[in-house]
Amino acid sequence: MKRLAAIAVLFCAAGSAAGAETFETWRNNYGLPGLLDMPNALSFPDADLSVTDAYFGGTNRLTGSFQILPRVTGSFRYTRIENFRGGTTGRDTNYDRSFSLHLKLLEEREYRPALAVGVNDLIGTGLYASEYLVATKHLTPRVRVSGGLGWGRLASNNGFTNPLGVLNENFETRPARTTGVGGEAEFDQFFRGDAAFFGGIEVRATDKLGFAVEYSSDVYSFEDGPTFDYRSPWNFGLRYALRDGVNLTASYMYGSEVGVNLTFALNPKNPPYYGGGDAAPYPVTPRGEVDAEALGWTLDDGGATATDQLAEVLEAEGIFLHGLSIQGGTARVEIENNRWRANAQAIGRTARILTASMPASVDTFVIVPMVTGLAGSQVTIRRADMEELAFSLDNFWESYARAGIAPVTQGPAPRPGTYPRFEYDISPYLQPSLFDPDAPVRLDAGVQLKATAEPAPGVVLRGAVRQKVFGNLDESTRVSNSVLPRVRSETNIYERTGPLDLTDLTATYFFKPGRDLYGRVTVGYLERHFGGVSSELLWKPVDSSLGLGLEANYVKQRAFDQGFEFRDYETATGFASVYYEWDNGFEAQLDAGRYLAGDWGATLTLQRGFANGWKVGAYATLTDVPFEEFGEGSFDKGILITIPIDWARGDPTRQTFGYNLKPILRDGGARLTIRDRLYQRVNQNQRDALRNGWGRFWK
Amino acid sequence: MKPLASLSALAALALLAGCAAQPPFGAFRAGLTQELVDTVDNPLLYVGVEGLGRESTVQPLQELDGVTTWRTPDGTSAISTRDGLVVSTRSLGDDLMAADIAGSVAASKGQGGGGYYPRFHTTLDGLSQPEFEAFQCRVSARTSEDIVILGRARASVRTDETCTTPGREVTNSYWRAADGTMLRARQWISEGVGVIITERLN
Repeated sequence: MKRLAAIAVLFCAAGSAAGAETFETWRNNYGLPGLLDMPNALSFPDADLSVTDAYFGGTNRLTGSFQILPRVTGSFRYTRIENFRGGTTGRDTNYDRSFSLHLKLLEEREYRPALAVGVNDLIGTGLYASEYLVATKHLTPRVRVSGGLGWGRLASNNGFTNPLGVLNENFETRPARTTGVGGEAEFDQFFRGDAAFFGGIEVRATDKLGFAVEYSSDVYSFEDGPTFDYRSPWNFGLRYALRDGVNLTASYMYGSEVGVNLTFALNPKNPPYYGGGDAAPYPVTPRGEVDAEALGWTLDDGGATATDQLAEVLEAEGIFLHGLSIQGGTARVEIENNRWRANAQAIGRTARILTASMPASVDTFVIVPMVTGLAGSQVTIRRADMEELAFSLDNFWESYARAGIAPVTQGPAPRPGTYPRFEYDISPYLQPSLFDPDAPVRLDAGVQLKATAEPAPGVVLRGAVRQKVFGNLDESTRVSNSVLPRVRSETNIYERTGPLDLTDLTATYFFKPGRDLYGRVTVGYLERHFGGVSSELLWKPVDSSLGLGLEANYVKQRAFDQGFEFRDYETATGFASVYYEWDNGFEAQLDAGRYLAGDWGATLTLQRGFANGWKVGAYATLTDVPFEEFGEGSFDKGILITIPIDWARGDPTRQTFGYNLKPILRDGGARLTIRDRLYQRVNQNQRDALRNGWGRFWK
Repeated sequence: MKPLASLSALAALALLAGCAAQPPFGAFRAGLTQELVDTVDNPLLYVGVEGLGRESTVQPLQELDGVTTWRTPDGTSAISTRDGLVVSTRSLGDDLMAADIAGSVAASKGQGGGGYYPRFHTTLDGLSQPEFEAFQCRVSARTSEDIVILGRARASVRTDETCTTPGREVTNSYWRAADGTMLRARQWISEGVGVIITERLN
């Protein structure tokens, strides 16, 4: 405790030197804000997303970190330890997944250090189970010191009686871990048992170069000996900024090993191509300059020529003209946005084109953005406002405030010749499989053919076949030990058959049974493992942040060969869902109901969405399957990430890269994978989503 | 709808980012000759985007409430001007989405009075939310200057304005002919676009 007091004095003495100036937060070997192996009390910039690969002495940690909120950092880590415990567990190499949460309690002030608390290996096997409380203070804009107390693994060097024992003597003993299969948070262990001191200093020598010295409270008792020789608690590191967001650290760890740490960081808020290279939109045309005769409105063909011309111009902008009707002074225009990330941008471009193509008698545009026959809203824009606001300084807000976003007043009215529609696409595919201890990364690559036909509005026939070209997913010979119906745990058997797979073949009908109501019925081969009937009903008012859904399915398990045959297992599965979106971009979804293996429970999904299409989130499912029966991991959970391709590439496209990172695939809490779920289709054209994208209305 | 076809006359001259090998900035401007310009009936404006190293000529496509929107021959990029001052750009990435430049217009015509006046820029941040930048500007120099455009000397009055925010200071320059035509201008647009040079070619 004397040492702590000394550090406290140091912080106070340094107060006057610091001020608000600081330097970039470094990532330690756990991908957390910190020095080398130890954490500090800082956080990353809000929304910062990074991957850290750190290696020393036979331990490799690959960590993904996300600054969930300005003060909350979350990390998911995959660790590989060579010669673990001398191979006595039957495997020389140990693979472990762990999750950490780091919370900044206090911001740094002139005379006060930043203070943070953290928990490592929150719901894993407990290999890294530890907690810490740490303070960090900048002494000068280029020097900062950190000191903290660690518990659990972080108290293995010179541990002393837990000072929290002052509060309750139960803190002085750390109970043994009880979990056999991992996955449970052992709250009764947190901050209990001996504590130990750690700390260090970081110096930013130049803009590119920095160094750190730390005193570690982790003696690596599992690894010492077989994996590497622990000799000293002192670690030394040299850090170099290779380029913006890429850092390399070389270190001398625990008196015996050389380490490297390579970090890549990006921030969804900072696209590499600022603003994007979207081609200039058509400018607003004054109403008086529109020549109705030249456009074809005066021809005796009911406006067909003029409409076709409008459709062509919209098509060049990546917008499909689904329907057009002019009644009195109002033009009702149904569109499908095929190019722009923000539907508001497609609406803005459509409105500008309409100023140049509608006869002067039209004074109001009603633009109906549609997705597979469903319209989430209709947007009413006055023609005069387009002219008045085109070059106004605050035209984003002004045009949003004047646009009427309301429920649709009539069903789809496609223009003649729109249906039937047919589309197909041949593209390569990649399918990875991660975290199998026998081979942490497996991958299949091949070609897939997808086809879609729409015979009438809202009716979508869809199918896809895949031909694997090469890959090793079929090498997984792991035999399922599941005691539940094997709805997912025999995925590897599906990978062994083929090579031509029918991944899905469905007929779907989307419809609108009432105001604020949306419906879907799908029949066919719904996904790779199940076929049957799926139906859904969604209530989602245009101006509401709340949505409610019901889903009911009856499915049968598909045969391993991915053809038309079925296996014997059949089940009913369904959910009641609540969707909610906060103003800061966070979205929650709670689904409660019956899962594929017949288990009952609920899934909570939390995602942070960004107006440019990024999403980062996580989900967890708890069902009535006991943890022991569920098997490794105790319950189903995962991390979700969606990356908009236009963000990375700079030119407009609606394509995204989405990934569901599931540490373990088991049979409990499993849901059908249905591509046609309603919420995203509807929500993207409603008030909140349109408002978030309205900045691009004039882009 | 106005046909874009008339703009294709100069298509061969368009040099935009995306071309495989981008020539050095200024090469395109140096290659413009009176003979080439004479083939165009419409008003023709040279636009050089210093920050991106991109250059092109543009012709007017649309006029609305005193703002002219000019387009590159390939139709990809656009720039809008009021009284010769840039009020918006498109397809340059960190575009100027809108601007209030009433004070700068007056200053460039010698009507400012001599005190400070505001200038506002609207751009989009990384999440496409509008950001506003409010400058305080004042005229820092106003002199007669003969400038040469396509080998022809033109009499002009040059106005320099210095505009500051807490975060930056920029200088814009305007060269106006006696009849009020903006012959040349050099204006700071945004962080990503940098300075845009415009020059009236006919």
